[in-house]
This record gives sequence, C-alpha cells and structure tokens, in this order.
Amino acid sequence: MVGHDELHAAHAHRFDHLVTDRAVHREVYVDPAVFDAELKRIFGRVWVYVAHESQLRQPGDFVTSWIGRQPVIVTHGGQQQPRVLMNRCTHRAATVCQERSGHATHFRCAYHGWNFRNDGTLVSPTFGSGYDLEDFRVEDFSLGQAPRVDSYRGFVFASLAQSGPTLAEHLGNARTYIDLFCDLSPTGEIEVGEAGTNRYGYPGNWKLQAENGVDGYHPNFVHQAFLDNGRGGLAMQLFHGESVGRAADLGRGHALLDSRPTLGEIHERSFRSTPGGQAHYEQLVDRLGAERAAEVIRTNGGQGFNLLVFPNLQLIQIQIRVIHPRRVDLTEVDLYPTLLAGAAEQTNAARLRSHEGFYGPAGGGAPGDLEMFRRVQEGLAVESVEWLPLLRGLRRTELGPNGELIGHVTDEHPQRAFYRRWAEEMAA
Amino acid sequence: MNPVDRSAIESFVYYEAALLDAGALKDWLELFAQDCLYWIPSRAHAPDPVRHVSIVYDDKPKLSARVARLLSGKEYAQEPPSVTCRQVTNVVTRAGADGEIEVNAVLVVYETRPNTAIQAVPAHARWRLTVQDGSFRICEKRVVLTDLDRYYENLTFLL
Ligand code: FES
Ligand SMILES: [Fe+2]
Repeated sequence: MVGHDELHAAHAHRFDHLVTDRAVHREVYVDPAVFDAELKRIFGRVWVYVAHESQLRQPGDFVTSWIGRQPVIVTHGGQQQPRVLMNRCTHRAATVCQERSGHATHFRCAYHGWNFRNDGTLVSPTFGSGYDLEDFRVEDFSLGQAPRVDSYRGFVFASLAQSGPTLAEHLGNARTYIDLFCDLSPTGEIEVGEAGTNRYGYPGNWKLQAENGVDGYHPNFVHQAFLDNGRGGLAMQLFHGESVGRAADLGRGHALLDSRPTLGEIHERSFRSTPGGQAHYEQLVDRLGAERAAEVIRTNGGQGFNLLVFPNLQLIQIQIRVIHPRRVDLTEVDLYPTLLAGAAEQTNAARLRSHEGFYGPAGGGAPGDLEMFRRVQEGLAVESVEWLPLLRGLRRTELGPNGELIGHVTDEHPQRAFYRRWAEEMAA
Repeated sequence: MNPVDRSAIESFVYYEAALLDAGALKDWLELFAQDCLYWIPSRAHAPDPVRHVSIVYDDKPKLSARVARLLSGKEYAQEPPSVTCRQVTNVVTRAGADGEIEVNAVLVVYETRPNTAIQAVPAHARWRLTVQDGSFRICEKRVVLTDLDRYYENLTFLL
C-alpha cells in the first residue's frame, strides 16, 4: 500500500484516503482531526436518529439526545412533526434542559432566566427594560432548530443540513428491516422509553461499536462463554465459519447480519406455542395477512437480524441502540429495549429477560465487546502497523434483488459498506 | 422489640461481602435460596420487571450460569478479573413477611482491573433473608445503583 505520508500530502483536508475497499487506516480511529471532521461532515449533515414518536405522545413531551456531540431537545409541540431544538441558550450558550425526558411547556435557562416555549421561541429577555428594541428583536433569539426533521415508522431523524437526500432516500433498503422490527407488534407499534434504558461507555472510538454491531466474525470468540453455555451448540452455529447465516451490504452505508437462515424455521415452529403466542399470531394474521405474518414471525422482530443504519443507529434483537461519539477515544451508548404495543405482558417480559441476558453493562455478551474495543484502542497506539484489513469474503458476495451485496454472515462486507459511505461523506 | 438478631445478620452480610471480595463465587452462590432473585434494576423507583428493563434480573438458574461464565476463563470483560473492595454500612434490619428478614444497607463497591481506573459504585442494597437449617439464605438481593444515568464501562463483577 502507498505510504501514508505521501497520501497525506496529497489530501490535506480530505480523509477518504484513509479507507480503501479492503482496509482502514489507524488514523480513522485515533486522529482527533478525523473525529472533528466526522462531527461536521457526517453528524453535521446526514440523517441522525434522535427519538421515537412513542416517547412524544402528548404535546409538551420531550426527550433529549445528541446529534454528534451537539445536545438537542426533541419536542412534541402539538404540530405534525416533532421539533428538534438545539439545547443551547441563545444568550450565553448554557443548555436549557437538563433532563433525559419529561414534559414541559417551556424551557427556562437557569443562567440569566431566559424562558423559551417548547417550539423554541423566546418569551422575552429577563429585565427587558435593559434592552433597546433597535438592538434586540425577540424573534431573532429563538433556540436553534434542526432544519430538517422526518420520521419513518415512528423513528424520528434530524439532519443539520438545509438540503440533501430525503430520509426515505437515506434509509433505502434499511426500511425493510425497520418494518420487520415494528411489524412483530400486534398493533404494528413499538414503545420506546417506557421500558427504560441500558447505558454503557467505553474508552474507544465510536466506529468500533458501529462496525461491531454487524460483525458476525467475532461472536464465537468473544461470546463463546455465553453462546456455548448449555444451549446444545445451536447458538454457536449462528456465527460459525460454516454457518448458513448471511450478511448484507444494504447500500448507503447500512448493513445487516441475517440469522433467518439459521433461526427462521425455529421461530416459525415455536412462536405459537410460547405463552400468548397463539393470540399474538392471530392478531398478526388479522393485521398483515397470513403470508406477511409468517415472514414477520420468521424474523421474530429484530431477533432474526442485526441492522446498522449509517452512521450510529442499530436495531438488534429487541433494542434500538444509539451510539454517541464523545471524543476520538470515548464513546457512550444508549440501548432502548422496545415493548411491543398490545402484546401480552409475558411476551414483553420474556423479551426483556432475553435482552438483559446478553446486553447492558452487566450482560453476558456486550461487556466482552467493550473489552475488545478497549484493547483495540490500546493496540491502535502502535504507529508502525498502519492498516486494519477488511479482506474477509472479498470475493464471495453476490448481488441481491434490491441491489444489496449478500455474503456469508462472518464476512466483512458489512464493514466495507460502512466505510465506503464514511469515505464518501468525508471526501466532500 | 425487634425479634431479629441484628449482629448475626450483620455478620452474614459482611461474610457475603468477603466471599465476593475473595472471588469465592461458588460459595457465594450457595448462599442463595433455590427460589431467589439477584436484581439490579435500571430505575430507582417502582421498578416493574414486566415493563422495565433491568441491568441484571437473575433467578437461580441464570445466576448459576452467570457464575459459571465468570469462572469459565472466557468472559473477557473479566480478563484480567476485577479486584473489589466493598463496604456494607448503615445496616437496618426488620422482620419481613412470612418469617423473612429484610435488611437494608448502603453498599459501596470499589472496583479495579489492571489497565482501568478504579471505580466506586455506590448503591443501596436490600436483602430478603430466610433461615434454613440454622443458617441464612438469600431469597432476594436487590442493588439499586446511586447513579443510574451513568454510562458504566463494566459491571460484570458481582455487586
Ligand atoms: S445563558 Fe441562558 S439566559 Fe444567559
Ligand atoms: Fe459482540
């Protein structure tokens, strides 16, 4: 490969040379300049997931999150689409909301008392007689807002760019799996937030979690103690070198691990015999028809796949996972286990127990990944070995019916997909 | 008057803490009744396992599997293993329902692994104990973390 210094000279403010179709350069994970550029070029432009509509049922409901590192408040102000307000007072820049979720008609900044309505407009500055009207027009000091907000199946996304691809264009093939995730609900609706949140962090780059969520190569190694634990070896077949599982590059940086070839028939056979399963099945048939119901059950919501939506959203098992980049070597992650609206209590409880077994900071699986991220970030300090290969399965993908690239579940085309989009965004 | 022998109960929870600090996980597991719960909820008030996710919600089989995994040598979040030092203080005991004993205490676990900074994990702990064959058995141990909003890097050691 070409020496990095030569490349660097040729691409002063570009970073796309750090990624090829077969490798990623270490600076992608360790260079603060890359991180700063990601915040501007990726998080500052592309559609980023900020909330789910089920968290915003009543006018006044709000949740807070981040777009990259920028704090935002997502509010239901009574209008059709939620608003995504910048959580930054227009006076001296203090955050105006300190809660993760709640209900408020106004956000009052504690610093000098400016009070904003939940549509972002400023009521009036405090001690107003000190302001001259020629200097100060109240309407110039509304909270900042994401210029574009749109949603799909209740998933609310915001883009900080004035223009660009629509959300539907951005999601592309990922919509199929968001549909499957939601359609397992008897009503087609999921509930986010009600079940609470699992949170964890790690001293490593945010992309380590992004690429790991669709890495079918690692589970039999990192998670062996969990997968091999009295389950008759079935779980070890999911991600085996000879597994029948598939993975897909869905286009636009989105990717999928697909366990349906391994688990689909088991889900089909067992779904109706679980407690509440028969009634659930009948509700699905009523709403979706027998054919679609069978497809949904084969997938069993997100149990049949891991979906990565570029850049930082994942749907895995029952959870919505949101990855927050904090520093080049520090990342925090929110896991929102979802409830199926209208499903039997024992169905939702069983889904929660299954989630807890593997995920969260004390789960049987996720902490092993975090330990690997810590080790990777430590190893990346080595400067003389510059590149991280993504060569697995390079020559064994095939084109799917929707333009996706499909290959073996343990191959690295999901990561190649992610970094191809990454390079596109970082080039411009 | 409190019918519960407070010093025996204190000795028991200190013994439990000492087993965990010593890494004697199998001995620790034996302290639990067959029908038990080891619970770290993800919300402080009125956690409902039917509707709310927990950090840990283990019955005896799951807790046994957890201990087996931690001892397997293949739980990499525990390679190298955590070293812990825990304080159990402010112990309050009272008679519970069905002859059980309820114990509430402040629990602070200091934890470190080589390569990671020491972390302090403060919590309120609650035990439901029963007496079986002359010794205490844990029916439920519930640990409510003080900082539930924190993005913990590793809670795979036992609290
Ligand atoms: S910073 Fe908000 S009122 Fe001054
Ligand atoms: Fe993993």
